[in-house]
Amino acid sequence: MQVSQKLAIAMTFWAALILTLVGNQGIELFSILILIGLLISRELSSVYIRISTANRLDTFIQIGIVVFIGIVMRRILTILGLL
Amino acid sequence: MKNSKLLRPEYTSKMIGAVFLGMSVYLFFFTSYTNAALGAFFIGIFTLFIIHVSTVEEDTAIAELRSGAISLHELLEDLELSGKGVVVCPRKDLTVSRIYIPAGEFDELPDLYDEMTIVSGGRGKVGVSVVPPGKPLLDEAKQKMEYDMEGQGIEAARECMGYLSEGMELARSFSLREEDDKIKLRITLQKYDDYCEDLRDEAEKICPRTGCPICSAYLTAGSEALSKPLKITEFEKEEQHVKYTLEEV
Repeated sequence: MQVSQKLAIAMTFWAALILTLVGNQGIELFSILILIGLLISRELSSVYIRISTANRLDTFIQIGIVVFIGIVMRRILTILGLL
Repeated sequence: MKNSKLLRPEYTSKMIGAVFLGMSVYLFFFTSYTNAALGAFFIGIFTLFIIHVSTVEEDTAIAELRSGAISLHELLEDLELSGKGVVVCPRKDLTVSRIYIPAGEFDELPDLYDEMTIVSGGRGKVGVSVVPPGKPLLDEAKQKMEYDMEGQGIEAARECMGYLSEGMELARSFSLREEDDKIKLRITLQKYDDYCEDLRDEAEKICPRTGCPICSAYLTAGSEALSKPLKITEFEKEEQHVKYTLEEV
């Protein structure tokens, strides 16, 4: 089994676990936990994955970081009472 | 037995991804499970894009590996070299790794230079110095390492070999250990075992001389990480295991 297949299976289980545990919470928490899962899998698999797979994984992480920044900005605006 | 094209990982992953995306659309528009829809969407997109298989057919890749090894074997056979190979890491005037194959019994390592192929160093130091056939594979693995492994020791060699095995899937596993003044390298092949057997049928002597591209990548990684020339003293193939005993020169 390829490392990328193992990654996909691991992330599927991670997403399913998050849904089970915090499925009734907001989308924000779900997104952040997915980003954490991506960061962990990227770090743990960095030695074993091909450069092309690493680049694809990095793209997911970059999208996740943009979403995370959006969530933080939204929180700040809420705290300041601007939203 | 060959898998049907549709059963290959890159196609099955796309089908699975599409099913998850379909599920996410259904959950989002027709139910109130928004989080589940988001989860299914993430899994779908991730599965669609993360599983990626290179476009070169496995048979083509094996044929390329064979062709390189056989042409080198023919050359070394014609030169009637009887000695076992010495993997030489960059040192003195040598800027890239080489494999030195002495014409007879190995006595002493002559001075090697990048542009020198036929070595005639006098006092019986006659042989051939060639670029290791596994150098391109090793270069690919070295790109992945976050530091320059040259001279970093056996752990760096293991890390590099780990990528050759797990990342590039050249072997199922490997073991590298120091025993007294010898270094033992064991490579457990899996999908390339048939390739190894076929190559050995045709060019058995390539193993103790330079190694095929796969073994050569491991041997060169060992020499570069230890920053020492390594002489192949023994070679053995047992089932799927390729065993090299190396000695520091």
